[in-house]
Amino acid sequence: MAIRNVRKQGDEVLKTPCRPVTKMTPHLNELIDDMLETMYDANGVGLAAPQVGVLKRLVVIDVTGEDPHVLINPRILESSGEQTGWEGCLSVPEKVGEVTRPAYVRVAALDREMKEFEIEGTELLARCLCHEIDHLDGIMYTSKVNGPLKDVSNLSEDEEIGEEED
Amino acid sequence: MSVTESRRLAFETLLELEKTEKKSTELSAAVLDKYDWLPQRDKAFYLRLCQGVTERRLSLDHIIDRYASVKGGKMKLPVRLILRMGVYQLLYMDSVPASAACDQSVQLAKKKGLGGLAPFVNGVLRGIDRSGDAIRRMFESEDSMEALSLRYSVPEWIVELLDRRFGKERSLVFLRSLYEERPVSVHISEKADAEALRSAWEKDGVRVETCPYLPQIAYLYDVPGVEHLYGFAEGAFFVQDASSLLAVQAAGIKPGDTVVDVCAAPGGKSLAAAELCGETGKVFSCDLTEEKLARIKENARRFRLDNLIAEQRDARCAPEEEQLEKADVLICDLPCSGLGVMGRKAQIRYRLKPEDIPSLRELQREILKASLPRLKKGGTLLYSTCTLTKEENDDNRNWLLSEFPLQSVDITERVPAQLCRDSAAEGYMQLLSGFPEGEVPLDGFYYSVFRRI
Repeated sequence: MAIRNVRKQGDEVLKTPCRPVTKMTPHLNELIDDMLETMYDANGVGLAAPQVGVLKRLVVIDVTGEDPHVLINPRILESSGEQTGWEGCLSVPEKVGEVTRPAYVRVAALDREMKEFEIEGTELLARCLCHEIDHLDGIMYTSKVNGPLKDVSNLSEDEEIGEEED
Repeated sequence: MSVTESRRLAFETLLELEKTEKKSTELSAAVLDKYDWLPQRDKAFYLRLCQGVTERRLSLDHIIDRYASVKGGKMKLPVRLILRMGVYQLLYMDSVPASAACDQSVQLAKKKGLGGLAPFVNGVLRGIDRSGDAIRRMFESEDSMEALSLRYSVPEWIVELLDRRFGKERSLVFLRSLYEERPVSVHISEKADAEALRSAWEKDGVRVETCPYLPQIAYLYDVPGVEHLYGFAEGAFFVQDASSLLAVQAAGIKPGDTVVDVCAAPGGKSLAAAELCGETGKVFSCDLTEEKLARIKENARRFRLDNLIAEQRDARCAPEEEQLEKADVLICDLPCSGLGVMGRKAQIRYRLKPEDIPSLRELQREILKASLPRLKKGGTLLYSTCTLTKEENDDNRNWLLSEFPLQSVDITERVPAQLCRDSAAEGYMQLLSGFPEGEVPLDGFYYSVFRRI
């Protein structure tokens, strides 16, 4: 497994619609593992394949830290209601913006075994599903924000505190 | 996608506080200013966590050291902070389910690159959660100095100091007051329309109470931040504790007086003095640094007080020739150990060491000695501190009386009857928060008044 380089806003790859995945390969399996690791490493709750430079319809999501989801060729079947709240994106570091999203979504996708499944989400999970699926169509949340982006750079300079002890 | 979490923000704030000399309230206010867009619920959670972990540090560490197999000194700071936050949520925040307190702490450890310690964090917190009832019972005891220290999270030497000085009953009321809800105390300018302010604030969801002793002082509850309140920019009010205004009133400032405030920042006493001496009087507000002076000037500008002059000077230095014997009233509200305000300033009790007190007393004496020549013969000296120690208060008062041509002034008439104690006749008052019996949220404060002969 490896941490991949997260593409930043401005990169053409983030504006390009992605192609569906047709079959599972060892290569793709490795990509999924890397995306999960990259997402956790960056303190993200979701990551889409184009964010690591791969134009495939594939996203990983984990909004609680212990509930990873892999969604291949995801599509929104149903959505309802409305929620307005703040979100950020690993491709737009140190910024957040207020976005209105559905309060509820139902999504169909394929899992790692390429078996079809459905997932429902409200609150943060609904927001995250919409945010990541938008990436697959080349849409950034910054095109949907109400008002300006806010700066959220780190409080303390040194983020390297991960020293282990016995 | 990424999200901003209040726990992570609190962790970063607490880490920054450990590494710098910054004040917890100032840093968390600056963070919330920057993260102004966070939902109110997240902001409240963040503030409660920062404040709670800071003030309960001693109690939290005691529990952590008991339940963690690692010896206290060996535990690295980030891990200790994550545990303090977790234990605080477990023991002091009923709104957080125990499972969330544990899980979120584990997640935080992972996100901070301490994933290897996640099982350790989990184990310690689950253990503490299982013993929650026993720990709460242990914290109920008030039988010994050690028990009081643990229950109220105040170092034992301070508990002993309080007990020696105020007796068990009064020190208990004071300790309890540390965790009572504390309103923002504001002084409404005499030029402002108090009724209009009050109704505008109440419309914004702020609860307003008037201080029973001082009609200018209003207590504001549930304030999102005073600078956002109606009337702030126009200088209709400023933040001032009732105790501070009581001290200024005890100095007996009259219209036309020249007042010198030697350590004035942020300027509350100077502003109150400027109101009292009026347009024919003058207030010279002095402080050490450009930064402190800027705060005074900013306040004076907002209040459009033309009779307040800000001067940058070191109060330990002898005054210039032209400054000698010019003051009708000399205000010496001096740097001190701050024990009277430790409920509002959560770090004081941990940063202060017993050996700091004699050196603070010496600093106060140095400033008093250097400043006294500015006072006219027949003029009034106000010496005040926001602390409770005998060394800084009574000892310095006795020293002033014995070393200088000063006599004490009977201030009985200048102290509201409900608060007045026998000591007022001898020219001094020691206020303690929690008294009188929690009726009014006062800071712990000492003031004494002298006349130069």
